[in-house]
Amino acid sequence: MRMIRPDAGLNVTNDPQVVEASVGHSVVRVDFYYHIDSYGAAPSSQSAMDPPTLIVTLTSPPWRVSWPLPAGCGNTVSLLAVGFDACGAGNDTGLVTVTTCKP
Amino acid sequence: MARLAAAAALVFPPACGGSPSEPSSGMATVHFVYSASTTTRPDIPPDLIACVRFSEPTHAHVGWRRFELVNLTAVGADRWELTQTDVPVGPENQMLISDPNACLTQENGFATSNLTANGVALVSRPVPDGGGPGFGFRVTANGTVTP
Repeated sequence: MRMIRPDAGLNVTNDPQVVEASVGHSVVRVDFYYHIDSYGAAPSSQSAMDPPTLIVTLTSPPWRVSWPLPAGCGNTVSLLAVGFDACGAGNDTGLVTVTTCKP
Repeated sequence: MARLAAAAALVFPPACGGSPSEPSSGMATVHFVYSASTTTRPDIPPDLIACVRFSEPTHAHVGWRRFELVNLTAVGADRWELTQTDVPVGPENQMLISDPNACLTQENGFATSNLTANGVALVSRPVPDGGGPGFGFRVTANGTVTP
C-alpha cells in the first residue's frame, strides 16, 4: 500500500488537494488522515496543535479524497492512509510529509 | 528609541507558549528524559495503526514554539532524551510527548507519565492547545524546574 499523491516533500498549494492511495485487492476500507507537524508563518494566535485528523473513511474505490488545506503557508503536514481487509487486518502507506500553503 | 522598542513589543508580542500575561524574562536550557521503551511493541492492534504512525518515532511537541514537533533521541532500550536551549524563563511552559506505545492507553498516543525536566518529575495535565494530555512546568534562569 502506498500513497500515489501527493509526493513526499512537495509544496502543496492546490486547495483542495487530491490525496490518493494505491491499495491491494483485499482492501475494503481506507481511512485518510492528516496531522500538522508544525505551523509556518501563521499568525501568532495560531498556537494550537491538533491530534491527527481523520479526513474521510472510504469503503469503495476510488481510494482518493479532496483534502482542504489548513490555513497559512509553510505548514509541515503529514498524510497517512490506512487500509483494512474484511477480516480487520490493517496496512498503511507510511507517512507522506509535505509543506502546504493556503494564503 | 527605548519608547519605540517598548511600543513594538506591545504590538508584536512573542509567539511562545505560556500565558500572554506572563512575559518571559529570558531563556534557559532544559534537559528532558522520558523513560519508556525505545522500540514499538509488535502487538498493537490494527485499529491503532494511525495513532502509532503519527506517534513514531517518539517525539515531543513544544508549546513555546507553537507545539512544533521535535524528535527525541533514543538512549538505550528504555530512555529518550531531549535538550532544549530556548525554554522561556518565567511563564508556564507546556510540552506533549507522542509515544506509539502509549496508543494502547491514550487514544492519540500522548504520554502521561515518566517525564523529567532537569531531573524534576513532571505531572500530567490537560494541554488543550496541544490536543491532549501533556506536561506543564516553569523554569528559572539557572535551570531550576518547578512542575
